[in-house]
Amino acid sequence: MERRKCIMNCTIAVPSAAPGGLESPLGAHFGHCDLYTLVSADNGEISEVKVIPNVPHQQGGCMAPVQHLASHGVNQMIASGMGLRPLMGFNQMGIKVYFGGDAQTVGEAVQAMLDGKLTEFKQEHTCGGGSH
Amino acid sequence: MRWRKPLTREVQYRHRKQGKEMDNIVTVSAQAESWRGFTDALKELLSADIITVGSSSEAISLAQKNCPLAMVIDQNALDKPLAEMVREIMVIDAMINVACLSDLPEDEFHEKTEGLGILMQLSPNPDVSEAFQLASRIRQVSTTQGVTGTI
Repeated sequence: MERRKCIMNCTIAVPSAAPGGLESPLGAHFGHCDLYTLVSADNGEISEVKVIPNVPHQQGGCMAPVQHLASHGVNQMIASGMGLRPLMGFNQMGIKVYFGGDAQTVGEAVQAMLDGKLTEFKQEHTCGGGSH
Repeated sequence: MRWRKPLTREVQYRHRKQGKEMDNIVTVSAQAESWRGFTDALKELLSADIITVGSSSEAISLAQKNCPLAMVIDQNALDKPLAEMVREIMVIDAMINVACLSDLPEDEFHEKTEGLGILMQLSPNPDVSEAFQLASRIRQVSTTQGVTGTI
């Protein structure tokens, strides 16, 4: 079943390895990536791409990147790895998180999302808590 | 007494940021008296109300109603595994900072709680020096979270 496409305007954040941008590899873990690529999409088409740095944070301060992205108007997020707390933080702020799956680059992940091919990032996808 | 509509979490956070409402910290302990020095110091350092409860269910109820700045949990007071308790708190409000009393070695504690965003592991009988460390960490993360104007 094809999932609902991103047909409205949206700003998608993707954890990225340097230098960021559509050609960059996905960052393995949302909180520990070098930077975020922010992709604006309009009616399912990419309209703008920009790169912002991650914010330094200490143990237990994993809500800092969540606030950082929210302050940049992000309303969708693609991640391959994330802990429960930031996932809940995104959800509670109304930012929907998608699981990056097999995408190798930021561009592949964003296109898959725009095509409605990514699944929602759920609690069972979160890392840690003795589960690994 | 006239019924008053409960404040939404956003309004509570805004009031706190504007200094209209005092921060509160919930401690979950079956033997709160034994770490009185710790809680008194935390109260003074953060200018916060300390609310002590003795069970998981009371703690969950306060997490839902009180919008606490932090919760300090003694796993001996819980009727469920610590990780499960913290998960429940995060599902209610991921902005709540959690510190846990535990005698597990640091590596083992980290393994059991990784990804849950726990701010700090405390000793089973935390003292004043640990209150200073925890207050400092709460200040640091609260500044980046932007939820409090009183500390």
